[in-house]
Amino acid sequence: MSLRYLAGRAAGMLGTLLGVAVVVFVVLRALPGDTITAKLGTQAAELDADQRAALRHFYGLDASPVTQFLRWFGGLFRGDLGVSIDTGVPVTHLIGDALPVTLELAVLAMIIAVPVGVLAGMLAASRPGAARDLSVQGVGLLGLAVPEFVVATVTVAWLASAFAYTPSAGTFVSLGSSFGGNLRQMLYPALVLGVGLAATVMRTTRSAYLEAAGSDFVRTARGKGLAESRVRFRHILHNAGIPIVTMVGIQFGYLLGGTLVVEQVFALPGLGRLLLDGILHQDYAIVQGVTLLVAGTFVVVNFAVDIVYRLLDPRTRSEGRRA
Amino acid sequence: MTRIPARRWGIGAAILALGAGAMACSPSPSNGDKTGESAQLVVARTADVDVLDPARATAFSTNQTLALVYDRLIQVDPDGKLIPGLATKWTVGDGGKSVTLTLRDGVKFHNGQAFTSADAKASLDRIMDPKTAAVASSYLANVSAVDATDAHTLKLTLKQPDASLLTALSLTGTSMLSAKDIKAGTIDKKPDGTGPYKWKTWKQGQELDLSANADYWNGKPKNAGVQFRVIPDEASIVSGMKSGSFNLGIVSDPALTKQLKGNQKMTLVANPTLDYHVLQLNGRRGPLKNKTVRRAIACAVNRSDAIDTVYFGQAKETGPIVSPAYQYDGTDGLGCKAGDTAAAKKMLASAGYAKGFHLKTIVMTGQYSTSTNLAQVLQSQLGKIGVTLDLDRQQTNVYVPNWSKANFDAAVALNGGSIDPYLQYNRYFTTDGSLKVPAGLTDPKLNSLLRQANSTTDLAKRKQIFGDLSKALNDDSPWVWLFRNQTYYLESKGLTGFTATPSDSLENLRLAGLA
Amino acid sequence: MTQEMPPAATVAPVALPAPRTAGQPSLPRRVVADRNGLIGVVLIGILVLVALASLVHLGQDPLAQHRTGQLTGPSAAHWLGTDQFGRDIAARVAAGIFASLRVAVASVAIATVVGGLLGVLSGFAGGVLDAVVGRLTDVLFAFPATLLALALVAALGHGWFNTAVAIAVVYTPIFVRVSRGPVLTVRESEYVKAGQVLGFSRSRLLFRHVLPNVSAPIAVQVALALSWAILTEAGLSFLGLGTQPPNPSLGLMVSDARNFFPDAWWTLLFPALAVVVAVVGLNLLGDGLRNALDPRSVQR
Repeated sequence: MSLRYLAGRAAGMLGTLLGVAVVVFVVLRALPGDTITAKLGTQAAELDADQRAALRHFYGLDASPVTQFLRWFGGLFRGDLGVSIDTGVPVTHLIGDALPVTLELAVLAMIIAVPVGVLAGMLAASRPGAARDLSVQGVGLLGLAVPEFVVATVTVAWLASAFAYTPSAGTFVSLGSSFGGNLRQMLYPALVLGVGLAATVMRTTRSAYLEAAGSDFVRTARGKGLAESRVRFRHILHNAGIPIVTMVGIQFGYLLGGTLVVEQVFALPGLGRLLLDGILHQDYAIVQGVTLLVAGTFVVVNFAVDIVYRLLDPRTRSEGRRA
Repeated sequence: MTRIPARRWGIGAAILALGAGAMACSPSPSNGDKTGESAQLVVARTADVDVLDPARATAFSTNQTLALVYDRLIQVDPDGKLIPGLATKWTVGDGGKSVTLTLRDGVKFHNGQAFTSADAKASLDRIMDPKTAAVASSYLANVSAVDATDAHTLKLTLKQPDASLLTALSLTGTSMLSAKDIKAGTIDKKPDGTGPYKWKTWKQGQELDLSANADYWNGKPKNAGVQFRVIPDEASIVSGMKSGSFNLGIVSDPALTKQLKGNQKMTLVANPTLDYHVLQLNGRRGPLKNKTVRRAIACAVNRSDAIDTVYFGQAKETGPIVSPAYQYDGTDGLGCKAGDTAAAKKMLASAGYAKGFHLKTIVMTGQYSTSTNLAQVLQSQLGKIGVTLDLDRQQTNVYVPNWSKANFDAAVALNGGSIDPYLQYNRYFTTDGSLKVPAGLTDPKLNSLLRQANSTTDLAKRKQIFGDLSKALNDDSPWVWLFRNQTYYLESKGLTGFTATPSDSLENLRLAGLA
Repeated sequence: MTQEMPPAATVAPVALPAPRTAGQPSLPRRVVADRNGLIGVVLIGILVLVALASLVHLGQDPLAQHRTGQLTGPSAAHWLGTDQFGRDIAARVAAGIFASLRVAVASVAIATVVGGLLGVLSGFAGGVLDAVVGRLTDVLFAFPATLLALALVAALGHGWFNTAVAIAVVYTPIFVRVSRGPVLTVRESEYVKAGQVLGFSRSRLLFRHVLPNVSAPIAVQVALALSWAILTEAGLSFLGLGTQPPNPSLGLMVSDARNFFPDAWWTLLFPALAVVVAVVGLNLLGDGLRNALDPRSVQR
């Protein structure tokens, strides 16, 4: 892996992010309605033309789109993502509050999903075609097929009716202020996210495990008379590790942008809710900032996964670009 | 990798334990077990306060909250009658062109300073100053001068008689502020009023703590304080009530109340408010220009069926006038029984629209939960006379510009009412009203009735005029009036002494305690 | 949208099929011969029939409101019960399935044609075109899929076709990658090289030799993309975007049912079940296709 290759990839990453920034900017400006009304609600109906123009000027909305873009883009280099029109708070603060919630949710979901998914995948692959394989695969398929919003909705309704318990009834407790209180609020949303995730991990594990189990060194290991459990965990799983780690890494990048529905149903103040509110209220700065953050994370994670992959697997070193 | 299986049961057990823990220790109110005067009431609602300056408050929850910290000169009783507030009495003189108010003695601001006519004058002058950009300034548009004739007398001089002025003095927008705070420019930093509660701590978007004002002129509150919690999702407020997290929950989605029948932990109080659901018609467009067509639509709508479906049978039908102080037959002037499909069909045929037509109907989403449901019911009812509502659901920021430019044939709306019918309609149906465009039509008769009503303070005469107004509105049918909006108060079993008001004010919180 | 199945991560690994030899059964036969494929075909077949039935109003009118009998449970008159407006849930689920399938098929059709063509062309032509398409694909991949679909629907406006276009944009890059990869391999293969030597035109090479060889991985991807499209459409309408009331949509029905659950469980269960059956069916069909196309996976 040459330095030149690394530099090329890094430049490509920046190009991608610039593309993302431009696309978000354009799509946002295509939204119907206007920001001023979004902020003032029905009161906006009573504004006259002069007041409206003054407000647009105050929020910098009267400048040309190109000027607005350059202003925002310039701000990026000073760590300034702009100010939310709706709340008047800098977007960096809003993200600072929301990011830990989503990160924690993603980490918890991973903690739940990875062990379950890996074990289930190994169980299924240990005897392909047998009853255990079919039932694990069946459950996994259901895990993928039941929409997250259904699982979340039913969980919330069930907790409330059966246990008179609402994870979101209190104000949100941050991890810093109360570990237990925070975990109580995050557990169920993380479980809901974990269902689909575990199914994905299971499927990847199963196929990677089967692939590895058929290789020569496993036959050799068995031939040496090693204990079956040692063969399974030491040899097969170890070698099936690369695709699993890749999958987990990529899933994590996606989770940052994919917790929206769960955050909405469980009323958690994370990035997803921030985004949805931003889109619905046409709070440009919020949507631009969050998207760039999520896309940036995704691109960096992918890059990292790619580098690790290349280090681990010499065969991929020769190929110029990822296919 | 290889060590994962060893942890399997550990993680599983931890998850189970956490889950059980979560069930067992659901959040509880922060008031501990205190009752009576040391009780701290926890109130859950969906929105937070947005600004701290009463003159600039527009959001409902802001008005609702600041009204607990500040007092007005005049107050309104549950029947819509004006009663003394910081003014003990008022007299209208000079043929309606002046109002003299006597101010209450011995009232103190939370900062300890006494309330005098200088504070009252400074408060009203501040609202009228264009630099303040006060929302309430339009209410005082007829006031030409405010004079403090002595420490406890305030005289307002008017450009012309304005009967609605007294009602305007009872709104949160005209709250009495301290002259000292106005001068220091601290109004929007820390609320400091004469009201029953003092401003304590505020965590924006999360919770607000108010503490009881022991020196309140109308009696010390029967509790130690109120904590407002912001829970954006109404379903969470309901389940929070079920788990005993709040003493009072305020919600608006009628569907939620379905699950509460026979719940032992709380009482559900459905409170009809002054806001009203209405189908606005644009009388400047197409078939709707024809009065007979508009009346046919009004006749075809079956209000009680709509209430059954949208509000599960628990809302109050209303005509044009929503104020409890002025009550009339809501269908007088309509010329038919509401919900009479056959009559409506005949009217449409006589107007030459037997085959019906399509109406571009805008519906606001996001702001209130029932609009989409109501729109679907109206669509089904009007379908029976061949009038097709083409529904277009729009977010607030899309809906409002369309609405204010009257870019619709019909609009499913929830409009704000008032105890003074003049204040309810002058914006829409007077010739210089700020919302005359979305009103859908201009009618000189409506304009003159409204102006007449506001130029007299004689109650009997006003009753007569507003009765005529109600009839004239039905006759013209610019809109189809449906029913009053409803707020639901979920009261925990221990909560005593709280009553809701038509304006959804929480002024009675000061009388509430915990048994 | 919901399960957040990452397009990049789930590009189905499919071995290039050997050119078809005489005597081998046709692809549909091989799919049905596969157990998963058969179940998938049956499930999807049932859904398509139900959706078509809703078109000719075999059951009740999905929009008809009944004043008496709101929120009633399953009965002889209303097989799956009624909703808040007294509307027949069975009719609404059927119409919802139709709406769902319509959006899914349209969006995947757009994504397949546009993405597939771009992928084949850029892979075949290489050079500047390949670089531009590659960069665009990278940009679209970097977006959180949820956000992209959400923002596009908000910008394009309501209506089933706009929803389909929004979902298509999200999934187009997958088809670019799925088709480009095999094209690179095929381009270097002996028979295409031989064709070049023989002086065949580029278009002939493209259509006669390259396209047939990338159609297999695309077929598998189509089945999977349909299932994501159904989940995405349901998720969007759950959030209030996409299909608008009173028109039935599975996601919207679940959203409306929230407040009545668990008391009126039928308002939530049946639309949710329809989504699950569709997604399971399409995934199994995808498995079946993959097995049918991959000679190695026979009898595994």
